Amino acid sequence: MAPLFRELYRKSAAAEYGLEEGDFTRILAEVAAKYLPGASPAEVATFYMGLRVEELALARACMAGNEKAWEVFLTRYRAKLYEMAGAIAQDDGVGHELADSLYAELYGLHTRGDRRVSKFSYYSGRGSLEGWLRTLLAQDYVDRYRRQKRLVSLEEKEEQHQSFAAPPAQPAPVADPRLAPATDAALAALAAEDRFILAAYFLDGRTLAEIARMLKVHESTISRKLDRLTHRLRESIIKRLMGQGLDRRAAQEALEIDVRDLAVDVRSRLAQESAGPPFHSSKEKRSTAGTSNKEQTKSGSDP
Amino acid sequence: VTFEISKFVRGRLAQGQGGDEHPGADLLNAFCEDALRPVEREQLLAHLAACAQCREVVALLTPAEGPPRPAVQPQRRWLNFPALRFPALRWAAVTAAVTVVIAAVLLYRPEAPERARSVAHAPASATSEATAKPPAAEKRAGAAQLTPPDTESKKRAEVASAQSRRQAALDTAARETASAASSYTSQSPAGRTMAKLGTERAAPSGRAFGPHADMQQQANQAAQITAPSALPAIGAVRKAQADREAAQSATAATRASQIPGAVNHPAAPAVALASGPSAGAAAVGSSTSPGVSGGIAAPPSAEPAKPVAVSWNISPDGQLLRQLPGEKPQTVRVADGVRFRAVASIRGEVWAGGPGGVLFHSSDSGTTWTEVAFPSTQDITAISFRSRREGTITVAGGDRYATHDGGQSWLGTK
Repeated sequence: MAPLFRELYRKSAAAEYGLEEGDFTRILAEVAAKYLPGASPAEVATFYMGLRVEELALARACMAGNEKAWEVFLTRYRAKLYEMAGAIAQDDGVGHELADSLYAELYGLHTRGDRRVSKFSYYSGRGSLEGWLRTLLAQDYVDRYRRQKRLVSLEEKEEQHQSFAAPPAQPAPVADPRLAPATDAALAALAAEDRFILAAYFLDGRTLAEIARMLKVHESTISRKLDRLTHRLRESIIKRLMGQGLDRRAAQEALEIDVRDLAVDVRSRLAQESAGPPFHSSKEKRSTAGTSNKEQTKSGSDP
Repeated sequence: VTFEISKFVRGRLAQGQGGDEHPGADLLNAFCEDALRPVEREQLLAHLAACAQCREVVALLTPAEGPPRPAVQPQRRWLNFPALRFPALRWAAVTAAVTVVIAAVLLYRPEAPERARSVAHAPASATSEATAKPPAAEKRAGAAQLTPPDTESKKRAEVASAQSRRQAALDTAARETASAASSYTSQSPAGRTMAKLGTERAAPSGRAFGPHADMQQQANQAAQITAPSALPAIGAVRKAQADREAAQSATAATRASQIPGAVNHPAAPAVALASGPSAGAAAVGSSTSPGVSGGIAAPPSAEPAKPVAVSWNISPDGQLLRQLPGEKPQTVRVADGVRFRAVASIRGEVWAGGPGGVLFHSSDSGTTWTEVAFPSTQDITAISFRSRREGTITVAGGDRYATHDGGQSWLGTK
């Protein structure tokens, strides 16, 4: 592996930023240990070859406080950072605020011992540095947006002629107790990508084109998949219900029950304000302050 | 088109939440740049399916596309000639070529049936010469297949290609002249004498119809002496035939040069630089039967090789590595001086890209390669193809280019 490390060190131009070959090798080993624990040497070598070593060296040199590295970073990314932040926020003021906040985090607001903790330490070279910065901005923006969404003032509500009256009490029909486990099992049996498509389309209201862009496929592919998925899911649930003793007609009727009749707060569920399941591949825990709490919105008062 | 699921199912889908750990920005970014391993992509999709917040981030990272960029068509080589860039001149050239061919056919038929037969036999003899290629030329061509190409050899190929075309024209003219002369020698003693002289002069080179200029001159003299009255017509036929052959030779050379494996391949210079009769034979061979010419250019009608289950990789120094099942990885030479950064293959279709937007494509598991015109000059960092026609390429800086027609056109996104 030593020749490969040497080649990557040469390719990264880390020496220009004052990074020793040993330090750079240690960084690479850390990245591999994070993403490929227990992998074979061949897999690790392939992984190393796919890394953006030039940008990794730049980021780590900035983290170490190298002046030349910061100079290069600002020359290359300063303008882009503001541009990207503006594009994400669709507002120059908010965009500037996002970019400035990210700068501060990249420089390191907090210290651990006698060293500043920079956000650069999370960059692993797996994608482009520019893309990583854009992702940080997007995450920050989504966090802020969600926090602000919950803090709707009373005046604002009143301005929108919305009242806080309690929703009228409705009789709560009882759903077949076998329906929920059958539905959950059918959903769990789907592939992750299929569940992603369902969630993006039915919960987020994304268009076919938007989902297609996220998955890098053609729009018609998503259309075909959705068509197939909805049919397959319905058949799967009915089959499971029939397996539990219902006849086909009863299973279909049970499935068609309106969820509003079940007194389930669908809006709050659909909003998915709670976080997703743990993502074990990453050691990096993004701050989810304010997002780990369950939904606080008074959905009953929403129009 | 709208799709519907039961509201109850929708509610259950929304309920599948839990935990508070999100993937890091580098993984989300790698997902958007198609840089994740399949296992990681699956894990990330599982998280995204249940996390509206991360889905929102991903949606922000994949904004709507801008106006479609113009499709980039592969540049045609013949358009490199400045004079042929004007449509009128192109049509004029085509018309002139058609006129010459028609004139040749009209002049050729009524004048001399015997000569027609002899001329008709000429390509056959040329083909047989080409098939019986001297071992030296074969050896050089074989060695050329293993030798990495370079720019100097490309220049030599062009020069030699022109030489071989001229040589082919001269050969044809000499053969026709001598054939014409032989048909008249039985009627004229002077013609017999001159034909004998021509044969004696040609004998040292071991060929009846040598490519040398003096032999051609000698044969022309014989023809002039034996059949002065038929000279203009024969000359026109010869010229037309020579033009045709030269055009065929040029077509073959162009076809060979359009295949990068052949463009940068020293096979062409090796054949063309072989001086003397063998060079003539090889050049004529390539004009009449491209498939025989030592693998310089694959015949256009040849079907692509069947896809083999091979895995592709990039070596640390940017070379393309091909690994057949149960074998060690082998370096595949695509073009000289090109270092690759990304490769993808699907059902025998291989795409490899590198610095400066260099993109190569092979549709026969890496046997032959074609350089594909790519709209960006930034380094290609990731390639992903979902089918033979649909794929995405990511360049440094995060820009992505998608194709839905196997690389003939590209749609860029910022």
